[in-house]
Amino acid sequence: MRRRIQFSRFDKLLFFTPIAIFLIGVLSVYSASHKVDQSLGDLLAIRQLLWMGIGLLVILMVVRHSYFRWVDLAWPLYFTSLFFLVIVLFMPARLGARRWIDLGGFNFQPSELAKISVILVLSRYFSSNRIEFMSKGRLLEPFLIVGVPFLLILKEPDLGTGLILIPVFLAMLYLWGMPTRKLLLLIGAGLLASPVLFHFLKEYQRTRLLVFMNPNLDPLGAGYTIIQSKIAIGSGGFFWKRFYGRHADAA
Amino acid sequence: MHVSSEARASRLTLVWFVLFSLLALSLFRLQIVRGGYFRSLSEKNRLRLVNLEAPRGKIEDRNGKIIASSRLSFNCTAFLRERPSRIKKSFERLSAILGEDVEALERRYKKKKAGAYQSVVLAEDISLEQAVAIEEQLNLMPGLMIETRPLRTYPYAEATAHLTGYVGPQSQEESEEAEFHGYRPSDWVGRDGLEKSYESYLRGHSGGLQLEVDNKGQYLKVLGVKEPKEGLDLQLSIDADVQQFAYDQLQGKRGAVAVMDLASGGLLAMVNSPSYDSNLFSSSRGRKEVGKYFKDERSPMMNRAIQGQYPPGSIFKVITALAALESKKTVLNSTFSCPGFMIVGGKRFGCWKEGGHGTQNLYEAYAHSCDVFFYMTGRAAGPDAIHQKAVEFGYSLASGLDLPGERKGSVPSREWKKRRLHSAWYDGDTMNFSIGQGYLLVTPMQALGMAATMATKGLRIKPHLANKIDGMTVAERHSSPMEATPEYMAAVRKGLEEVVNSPTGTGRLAKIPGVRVAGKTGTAETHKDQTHAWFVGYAPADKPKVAFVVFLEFGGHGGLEAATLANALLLEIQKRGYL
Repeated sequence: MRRRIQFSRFDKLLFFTPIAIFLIGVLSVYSASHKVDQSLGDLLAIRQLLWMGIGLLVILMVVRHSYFRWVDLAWPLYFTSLFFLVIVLFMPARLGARRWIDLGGFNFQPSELAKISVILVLSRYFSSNRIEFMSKGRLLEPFLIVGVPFLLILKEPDLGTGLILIPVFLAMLYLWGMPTRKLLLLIGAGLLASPVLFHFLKEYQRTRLLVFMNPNLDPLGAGYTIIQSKIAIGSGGFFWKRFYGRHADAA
Repeated sequence: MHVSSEARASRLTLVWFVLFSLLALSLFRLQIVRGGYFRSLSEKNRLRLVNLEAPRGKIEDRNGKIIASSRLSFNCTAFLRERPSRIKKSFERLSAILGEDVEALERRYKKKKAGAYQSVVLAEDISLEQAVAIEEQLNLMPGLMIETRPLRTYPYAEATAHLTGYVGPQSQEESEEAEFHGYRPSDWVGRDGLEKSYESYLRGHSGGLQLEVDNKGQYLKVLGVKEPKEGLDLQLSIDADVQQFAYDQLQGKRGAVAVMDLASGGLLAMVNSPSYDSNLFSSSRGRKEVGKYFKDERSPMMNRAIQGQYPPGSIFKVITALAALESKKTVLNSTFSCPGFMIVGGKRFGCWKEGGHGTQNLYEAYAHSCDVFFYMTGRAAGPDAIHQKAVEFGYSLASGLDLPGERKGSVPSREWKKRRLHSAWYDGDTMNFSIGQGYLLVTPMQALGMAATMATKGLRIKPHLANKIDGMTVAERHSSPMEATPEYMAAVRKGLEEVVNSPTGTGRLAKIPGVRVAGKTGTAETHKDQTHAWFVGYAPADKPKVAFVVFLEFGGHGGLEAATLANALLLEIQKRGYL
């Protein structure tokens, strides 16, 4: 179903906003990381621009197709991502986790694919199954769809990416038509269970969460990044920090 | 209740909106409300302060010989702000250069939790070679730095320790107070001796460097410099050679020696023994050893010359005779017969010479230090007159020497005994008082003062050590005349000459060729078996140029040990042209 890009129907806001954010990002990276006597190729900012170029090409390719077609690919994509999520667990650990598959200079992170495919599969599932006609037992199915990749991602471990699935899932359940009361019950149950779940976390994950709540618990260790980030952001004030302005540890 | 999916979608948008508003709100809090706070933190993040400690002023002797100065030393320091993983690697490299354990370095690093922008000393006073080696590899050892620090050195060490005192870090409470005077908590201050009494002149004014660093903590540029200002130099009246000589003469025995230049009131020498090495106090490493001085029962830290209080023994007979003469209780040609003892109040008071001296006039009594003569003289004068004369000569008063911690000794009197001992004054007390025993306690500096007064025929001279500060003369002879009848003064002076020059004089060992010496021996009884040996005097006898005191704690007899030392001292002073 190829068709020419119709600029009148093109969502310009959705296109240019990320690009603007991206450009600000490139400038910040340049300001924070450039060094004297550095060749252009070594500049992190240049590499960032390169990725932006690649990203733009991908966008141009993707928008040529109606996004409804992606829903047809939902299940194959979903199982592919599950496959890779299992494969990645047998990859050599890096920084204490098995999250990446090395494709020769390019790192593929299956959890990223999983995020999109879960959304696609859920959309497909929700649109073909009206909640009004669901039996109690079948209500577990969407939980299963999210649960399997969720647990696999936690196994890597990549708590951050895993947790992102939760608000996505909740929002989709809401749009599907799940009664607000039930949703709130679900959230409440999750909160009640969190102290128990907390103990299943790894030591460093626990400290990271604690430090997130109170960075000063370990100012030169786990809290260092948060404190320095707060200083970097806070010191910007109303007019931000001048370009090139140096916050020593903001890099 | 059924809600359409459109309505649900717009409600969800509302939820997103609220969540993003929260984000914006916290940004507002972070950047606007607490922006100033974070801005100041950010500034500090890229700033590093390097303290440049200023050297203290030098202390020189009268001929410009260095008694105390500051030498440049290198410390390897670490910044507390460095990340632990990074500093660990630096320590491994550093340990290879210094030959010290990584653990030892880490322990020192962790021990001190100073201000976040201050540095911690990892290795103190390292060699120049080590400092250069570290400096060369600094880019491989983030967080480390070589700092220079002036280290106080005392070339004469023990010989001048009680003059100079030493320096040391401030205590917590002191540093709070000292901040008002422009001190930094890390500044060291004079702790004793001249270092303490002239602290406000000798102290340097620290400067500093404000460095900008990058996110790796590496030096980028100097933002500001405050030049350190060196302290002012102090020139003393001391002759370092005489000082060293006198110290060597004491040979570590307990005692004190002091020599005063009568023309100026400045001390040519003031030594104490046993002494301590003031250099040890200058570095943290050395400070670990100084505990031995404080534990030593021979009290090497004590400045005996001004802090030691001892019975003066026979040297006090100068006062006894003058008191009796001035109060008209005896006359110049009074003679007393000495059978070797005297009974007073049913108690036997012996003369040091058991067989007795026979009939003695004033001059003979001085030469032989006849106790019975002075018992008689003292009893005639009475305790009040002796007390008054003693105080006139400066006993029980601070000499005013420019050193901290001077003690005053004590001169007993009727009231004193009543107040302190709740007891009446007895004739026996007067006996002891007359020959410088009993409740009487004096410092060697007070004894020197007495010698100076006799040498100058009645001038109370305030001793001093500092001649010049920063080239400006600060000390002039400060003297006050006392009421003295010239002929009595002359008679006692003649007696003191006899002590040394009579063939039977107790102080004849102090005699030197070419110059006539006057003096008085003292052998003071103590609570122990050993006696204190004293010798005070002046020379030349007719036109005195110097006065001196030799004191040996539990050191034997005035006429032997003390007079022998005085003899050597006088020869040395003569050799140096002071006589």
